[in-house]
Amino acid sequence: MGEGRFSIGYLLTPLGFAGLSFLIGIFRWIFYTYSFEEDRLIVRSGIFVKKERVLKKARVQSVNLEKGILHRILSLSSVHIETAGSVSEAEFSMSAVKRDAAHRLKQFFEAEVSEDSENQYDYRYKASYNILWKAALTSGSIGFILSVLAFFFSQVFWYLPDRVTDALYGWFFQSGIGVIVMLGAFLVLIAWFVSVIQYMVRFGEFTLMKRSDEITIHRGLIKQKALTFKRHRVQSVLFVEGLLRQPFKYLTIDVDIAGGVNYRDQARTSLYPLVKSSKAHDYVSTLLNKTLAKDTLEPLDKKACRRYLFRAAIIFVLPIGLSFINIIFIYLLLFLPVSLLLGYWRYKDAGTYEDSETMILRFRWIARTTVFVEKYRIQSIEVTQTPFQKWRKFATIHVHVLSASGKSSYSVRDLRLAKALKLAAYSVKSI
Amino acid sequence: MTTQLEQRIDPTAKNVWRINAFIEFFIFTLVIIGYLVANWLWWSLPNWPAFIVFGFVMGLLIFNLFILPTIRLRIWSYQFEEDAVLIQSGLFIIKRTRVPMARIQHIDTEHGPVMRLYKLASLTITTAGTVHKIPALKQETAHQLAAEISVIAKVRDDDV
Repeated sequence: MGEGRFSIGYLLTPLGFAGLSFLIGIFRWIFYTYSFEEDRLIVRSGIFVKKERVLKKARVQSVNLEKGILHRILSLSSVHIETAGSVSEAEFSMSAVKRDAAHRLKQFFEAEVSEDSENQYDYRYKASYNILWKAALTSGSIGFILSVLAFFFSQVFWYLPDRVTDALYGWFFQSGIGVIVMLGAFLVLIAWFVSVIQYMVRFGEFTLMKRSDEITIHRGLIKQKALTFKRHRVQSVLFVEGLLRQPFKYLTIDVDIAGGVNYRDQARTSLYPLVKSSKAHDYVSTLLNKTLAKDTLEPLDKKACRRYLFRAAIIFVLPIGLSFINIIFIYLLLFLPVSLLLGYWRYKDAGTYEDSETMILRFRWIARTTVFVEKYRIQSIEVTQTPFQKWRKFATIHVHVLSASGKSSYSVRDLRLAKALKLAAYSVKSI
Repeated sequence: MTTQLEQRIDPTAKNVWRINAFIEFFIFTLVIIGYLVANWLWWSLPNWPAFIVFGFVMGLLIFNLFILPTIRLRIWSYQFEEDAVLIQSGLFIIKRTRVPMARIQHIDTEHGPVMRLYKLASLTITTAGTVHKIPALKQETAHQLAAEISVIAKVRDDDV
């Protein structure tokens, strides 16, 4: 190998590694086998260290098939098998299985399924594209995308030469307010467009099916996801009324599902992407065979309103302070009325309800969220009190339920302390 | 929530914390002495950082001996009810947690050598999604509770 000259050895090393990992891959594939035995699935793997794993049919909670782009081209599927208590990762994953074999696996664990399973479902809901477009247009993720855009631009700005930034500044301050508003509107439009596309990619072809107590959800335009779970694993039901959806009387029905990792891109699982608010209760009772309490919630004490408004206003202390440095920050105060309005809504919408079996919490961050929890599903319940709340005898209640990501917590702020303690002291019915 | 729950942390826990504080102090002091010796033998770094750190360690010791145990004792309280465990803690932000018995998956009791000296244990209650801790209680009580909870078996067939 000569000095300074291009040597083939440089190329050979990575090629060698690639070849080696390719060989290892082949061998792992050869040694990876699975077989069915009565009520068990046995998987053997390992080239030198042999592993054998036995999975009992009865222990399996759900079987999920997932198809990425590569999977679809090669007509393969990945299989994830979950057992009770596997919170952190799927107990059992096969990254590529022939599609019909994948379906055989699924059928093996999901008893009594015949070939044409499509007709076997006793309930089927397919979200029409009309509904999906409406949902996409009103999905709240526009805020998220705007902030990503803002971050991106602020980063790009740093790397531009001074000459360019100065020119931009000059242009920005010289051009009329009309141009700036237009520019802002244009950015919002782009963000909206991106959010619509993103929503359609994730929720396109949304289909929900039920067979006895098993619910299956298919969704996704590019990467198709299928999730199957038993009805009794549903821990809580949420009605989420986004800011853009609430005026049109539409909402999303979400659920927390105990122990499942296949919806990692979502903490909660959407059962229905968009339904008429008035029909939401009917949908839940058809699908989950349980009736959610419809009673009106008990609102907060009137005195709590001040605390909500105060919190909405306090975040503007910072811009006022910054305006001493640069007067431009004072414009942030234009958002004060919006924030105050949101704060008032948060107060107005917050509320609780309980009867002997269920608890309902309602709160708003941006979207108005109503959570229905059966009391015996509550993992633990907390009442917290800050020094300011103590002074006024208020408290915050936090309810923890099991979810795909471990736990979900729902809180209502500034309840009367006595009320919060009473809610927390619910008696679990001795069964 | 100015009211406390029925049970308090066992007062002898103060001694456990104090002994632990001493052990911690001892280890820190050893490290500092090690630095000084090494400095004297091989390095020629300034000595004063060691004295400043020692000042901090002294301060920490005094805090851990006289102030922290009293605060910790005062802010923790708990209560075992027929169907739930209640735990309250927090100095400024007070937090009261209620863990239903039926939701408890397992209970861990843990005692280090110092805690064993005083027949104390810490108790960790785990549900399917959350973890809760009582820092010090009598070993008897801890074991009794652990036994009680195993009696209250899972009650519904659709439990997770």
